[in-house]
Amino acid sequence: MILRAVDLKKTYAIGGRPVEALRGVSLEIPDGAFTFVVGPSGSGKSTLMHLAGGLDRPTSGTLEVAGQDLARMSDDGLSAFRREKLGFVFQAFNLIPNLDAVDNVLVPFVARGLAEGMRERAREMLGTVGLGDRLHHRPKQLSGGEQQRVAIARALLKDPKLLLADEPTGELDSKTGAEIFGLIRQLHREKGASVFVVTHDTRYIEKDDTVIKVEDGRIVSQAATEGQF
Amino acid sequence: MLRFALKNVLTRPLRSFLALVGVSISIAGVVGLISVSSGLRSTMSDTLDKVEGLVMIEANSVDPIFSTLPIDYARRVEKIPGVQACVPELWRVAPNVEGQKTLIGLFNAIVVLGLDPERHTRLSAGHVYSRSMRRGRNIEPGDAGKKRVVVSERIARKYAKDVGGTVKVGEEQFEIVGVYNTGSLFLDGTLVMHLEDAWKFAGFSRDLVTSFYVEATETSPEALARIEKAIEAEFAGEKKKVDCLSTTEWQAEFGNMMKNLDVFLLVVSSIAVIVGAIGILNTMLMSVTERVPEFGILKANGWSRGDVTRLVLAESTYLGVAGGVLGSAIGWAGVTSAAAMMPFQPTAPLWLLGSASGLGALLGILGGVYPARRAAGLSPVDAIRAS
Ligand SMILES: Nc1ncnc2c1ncn2[C@@H]1O[C@H](COP(=O)(O)OP(=O)(O)OP(=O)(O)O)[C@@H](O)[C@H]1O
Ligand SMILES: [Mg+2]
Repeated sequence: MILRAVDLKKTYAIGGRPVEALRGVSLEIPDGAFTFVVGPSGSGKSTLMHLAGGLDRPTSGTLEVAGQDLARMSDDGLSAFRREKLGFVFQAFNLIPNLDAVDNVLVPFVARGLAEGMRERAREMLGTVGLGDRLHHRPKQLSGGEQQRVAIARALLKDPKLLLADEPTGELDSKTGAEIFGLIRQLHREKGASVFVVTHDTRYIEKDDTVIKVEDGRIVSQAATEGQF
Repeated sequence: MLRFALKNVLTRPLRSFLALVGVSISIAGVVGLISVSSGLRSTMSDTLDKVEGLVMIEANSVDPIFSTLPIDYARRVEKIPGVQACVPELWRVAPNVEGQKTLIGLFNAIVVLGLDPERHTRLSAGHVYSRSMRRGRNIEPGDAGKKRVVVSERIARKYAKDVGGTVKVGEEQFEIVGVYNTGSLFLDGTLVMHLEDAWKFAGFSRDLVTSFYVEATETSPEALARIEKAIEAEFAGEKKKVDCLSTTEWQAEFGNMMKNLDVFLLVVSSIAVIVGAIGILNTMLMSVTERVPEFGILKANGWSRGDVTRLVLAESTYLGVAGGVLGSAIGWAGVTSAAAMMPFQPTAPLWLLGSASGLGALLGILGGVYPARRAAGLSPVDAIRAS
């Protein structure tokens, strides 16, 4: 089980008025699944992803990711968990403006010192995502699609148990979007990572993917597809 | 990570520069002040080392300039056991030399000293000025009434005069017969002349002088203290009582003055430190606020609170160290160029420059703590949503 949630709730208190972003979500996703989270805007998709990524803590309920009980982990424990087990790709602004592509790929390890050969591997990963000739470009000098590729290369280098992607193609045209999904599929296939993608675009859903529909903070359906989406 | 921190500092050149200016000015100020104070200290101890005996002045007059004593006190002092010699001195301010006012500025004042060379033969160690002759000769008994002076190297240089020339003091021309150099800021502002001429210059009657220089047979502080007591007792019954000033007393007085100066320095330095730290604090706080999404990405990628704290502290420490080094350099340059213009030598020793740079690092750390905590405390979600 890569992810197991029981009656997961998340309530934001905004100006004293509570906003219930998740109203009791229970989920089980097997190891290695390619999961889509779909639903209308404001339904709680990003919130669910942030909880799964240990970026935020649930208000109540149980949440286990890659065998770890996230609700019980310390801040430093969550940091280590993110560093070692997860990869993230957000809709935009995935990269550090001051660092070139190679250093951005190395960002998870920069704070702790780079092991030998890591820089070399980072270059390889950039090659894998088709950026072999953009190694020393800064984010500003890269297109939106290229920036997402750098983020994917970063995830590739980490070799994560779970890749979390929040509308990774949200700001891209459909051709570039398809390429990005191609790379994410590759990561899934070759590294055996579980993938958890939030998207509005159902075109990228394939046979055997898991699709979770969220509405108003609740899961309205969870199904392994056979192409009906 | 250090490379990353350095990049973060360097890619915001204007802001980093402003913080740098703040820190380096504060540090340059601290370096300058401490240099001046240590220069003053060494000048003073130079002076005090040169005067071994006692100076006897009228009680409560503080300085020979404000004192008058009957000249025949000398004979009574010389009868006191342990006294080698007691020579009269007449000190006057020379308000006007070569037609220029001399009272402007702390270290420009020029004073006239009248002495009696005949009596000086009794001094076994000699007088501070006669011991420091560089060119020409001392004032001699035959100079009485001849309007001759001995001047310091400094005065000679200042008025472009030398042995053989004349110098106008007040309304009178004096012939320069010798040049001395004690090397002390306070002693080298003196025009030495015969007592006869000084009486005339000062408009004093011939039975009055301002003070006496007393040489003891022993120069130990205990011996001097004993003689001092004896002298003060000798004249205790007179209408004009006397005070004796010894080097040790001056040292104590000077020490007190320097203690006050040190307190002042400490206060000024602390203010400078606070200002510098606030400059860094402000810069780092703006930088952290601007980079909220960036910290979100770092955290999402596994950076812990500690990692983020270290990054921001490294950035602010870079600023502080750069400001410290720059400030030390500016302070050193300032002190060195000021030393050329000032009559005494402010000194900026290496340890001062070193610790000033260290102080910069401290400022960087102090100013970075709060911004670092802010950055570390950001919730990753808020930071990511902020983009
Ligand atoms: N920090 C917050 N403070 C208050 N309310 C929040 C906060 N974050 C999210 N919410 C609210 O929680 C609800 C769910 O938000 P969420 O971002 O998870 O939706 P979403 O499904 O990702 O929407 P979208 O498709 O537009 O990205 C929304 O009503 C949102 O306004
Ligand atoms: Mg969202």
